[in-house]
Amino acid sequence: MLDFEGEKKRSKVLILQLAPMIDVFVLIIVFLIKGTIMEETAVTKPEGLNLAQSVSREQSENSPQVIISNDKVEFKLVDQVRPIAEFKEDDFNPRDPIFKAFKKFQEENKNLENANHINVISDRSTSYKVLYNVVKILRLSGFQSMLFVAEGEGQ
Amino acid sequence: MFDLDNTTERRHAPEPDLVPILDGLTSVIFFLLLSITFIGITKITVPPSTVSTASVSKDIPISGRIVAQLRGQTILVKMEWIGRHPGSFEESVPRGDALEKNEKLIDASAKLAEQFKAKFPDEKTIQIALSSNLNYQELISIMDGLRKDDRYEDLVLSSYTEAD
Repeated sequence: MLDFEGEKKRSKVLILQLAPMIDVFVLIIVFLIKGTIMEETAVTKPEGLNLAQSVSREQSENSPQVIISNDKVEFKLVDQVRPIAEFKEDDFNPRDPIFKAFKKFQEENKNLENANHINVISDRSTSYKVLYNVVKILRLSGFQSMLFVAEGEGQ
Repeated sequence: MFDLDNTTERRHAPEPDLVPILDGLTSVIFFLLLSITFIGITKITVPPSTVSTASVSKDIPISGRIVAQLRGQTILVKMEWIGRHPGSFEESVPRGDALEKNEKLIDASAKLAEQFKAKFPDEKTIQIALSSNLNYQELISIMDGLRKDDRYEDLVLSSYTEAD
């Protein structure tokens, strides 16, 4: 005879449902990947260059670069390199073909954001005289603002 | 007596499986959270502009300028201006290691900027002129001092001939 009065206690075994757990983890991973911001470094420190130290916490911008080292000035935006001696006096030739190259660069990039800003990356020992003469040429060519790059304290 | 031959039909009430429903709700919530953009809506009340006759300004511009000169192993930093009442503030700072960040130069520039700002709160631009024998590190230190506490964002470089 079956005994219906007393109930047998059965222990329920908890079954781990893996399928929904995997679903949720996949979703979380997808959201994390979508939320990751990957940007190219705006400024790459040139080899052999000692950047100036700054207390600024501002991030650098992605703008055309001019690199002033101990022996040369590289105008990366127009792919030209000039010896630093050309900038030791304020007698740069106004008919120099570099001005044409700058004008061409500006025409080709007029719709580009930050095309009129220049990242000036200089060795810390560069004299103010050389720096000023380089900046003067860039300003005469129509570039609106100079962004002086230094090693900051970061954010 | 119980009839064990014919099984009684039991109604099986459909039990909704909650787990996939919770999954779906969680993903919807995540989407909503990621796509929400908070925009502050502000109202600007613009009163009617007053009419005034234009007249040529007779005020001489202040043209604030910071000049740094190297005197031996000391850097003399001067904040000068023109305008109706020209004047200047001065600070002297030991040069130390010319290739290292000069905290004293930063502090001196910040102090001069603070004094100039207190005297001429409407001036937004400062010119910077360094002598030709000062270097890029020292320019950066002076700029750091001037830009401290967002006092001056617009800095204009002037020729080294004005400082030499």
